[in-house]
Amino acid sequence: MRKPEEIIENYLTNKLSSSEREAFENQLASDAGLKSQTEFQSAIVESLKKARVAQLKANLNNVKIETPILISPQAKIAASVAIISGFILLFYFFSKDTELATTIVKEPAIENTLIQQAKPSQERKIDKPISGTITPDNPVSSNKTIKPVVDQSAKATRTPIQPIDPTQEFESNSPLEQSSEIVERNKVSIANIVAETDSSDKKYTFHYKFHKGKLILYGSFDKSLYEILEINGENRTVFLFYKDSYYLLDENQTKIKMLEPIQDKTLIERLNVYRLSKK
Amino acid sequence: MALKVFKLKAEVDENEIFERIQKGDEKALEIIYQKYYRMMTKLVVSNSGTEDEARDIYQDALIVFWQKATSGNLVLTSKISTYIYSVCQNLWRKELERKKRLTNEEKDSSETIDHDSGERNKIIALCIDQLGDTCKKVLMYYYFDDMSMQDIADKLGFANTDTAKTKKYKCKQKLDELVKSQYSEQDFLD
Repeated sequence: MRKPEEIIENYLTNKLSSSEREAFENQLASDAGLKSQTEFQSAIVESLKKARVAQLKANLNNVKIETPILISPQAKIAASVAIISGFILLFYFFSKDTELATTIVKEPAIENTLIQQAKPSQERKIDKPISGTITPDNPVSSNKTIKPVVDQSAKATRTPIQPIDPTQEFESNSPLEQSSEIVERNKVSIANIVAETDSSDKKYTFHYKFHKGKLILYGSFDKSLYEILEINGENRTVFLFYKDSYYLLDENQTKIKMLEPIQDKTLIERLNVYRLSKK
Repeated sequence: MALKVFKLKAEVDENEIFERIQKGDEKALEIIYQKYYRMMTKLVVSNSGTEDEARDIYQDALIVFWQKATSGNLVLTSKISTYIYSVCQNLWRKELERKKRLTNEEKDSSETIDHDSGERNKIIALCIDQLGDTCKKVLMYYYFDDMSMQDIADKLGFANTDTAKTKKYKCKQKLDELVKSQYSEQDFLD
């Protein structure tokens, strides 16, 4: 004859045969002492089980869930979002460190008045995460009589623009690789552009030129905000943002030139990121 | 060709993982947990569950799978993921029904929780906490995981199954005594 504890234990752990089980349950019904003993043991066993479940759950909660790298459209979007956020972060740190490279000018509606936006002329050593190197469009030679002189000495510290195919750089590397590479490579100082608008000449409704290092915009720019973005990479590039479009500004453009919006979507995207991070 | 080789390897890994789980290897369970986390939680989240509920259900399902495997009561006829998925489905269906009942009955039944048994379970839980680490493990592996004495001995580094049996017996006695002493103290105070 087995000890009652042993039978209780086997009963609670389902180790009795069906006939043994039936006999034990009959006994339980008539023996109050056995019943309370069984209940006591049952409570302990249940508590041990609960404690074990809690322990297993706690262990599982400590398991780090990694985002699976899948080649699915969602994953691609997620990845590009991550890359873009990385960019914004880089720009964020950069912009905290610099004076505005973006000029926001609200022009009062006064005709024939040249307004100068005096810019702080300090130059800083700065890591630039973007390098927008752009081929200037074929200069549209305007046969106007205006022959401005470019004062090179004022811009002596600048790297002259070298015509480079921008798509080459945009396509060759992933944006993230490229940006980190550029951060290491470029230590560039920022020069600020002085901008003026001129709406006196009716012939030039949406044109620009550089004169003595100053940007002169022709047309009715006073009605809206415009922004000038200076991208200082290995090659310096200047862009104008005006009414949701970007325009490349060639600093060697001393003749009045028509402004033409940039069509390259990749470039526009990057400029958007750059511009918005400035705000 | 390369794909076939890879597939074959994945199957081998699955069997290996299942064998490890049967022996009570929790690391193997964690691998499974990670591997199917998105798949299983998605099932709940896409069926009006929250992220927390999804994780809860998935963990419960894994523990059901774990217990069946460690106790030797599971013969795997499908992929591990298929089995766990069906457990998740069942658990979530039950949970949805429970929630529905709860709102219908306006929490009437929640009052009927046995106050005495709640108090008793609290005391027992505290006593389990007072046990040494090895004692806790032996008892949990025996009563919950339903592991064989051989597996318990292997896992805890005991010399043989007799050592495991003795350990289990002594630890259980110790726990019984602890609970009894706490219990009578409680009775005395009342």
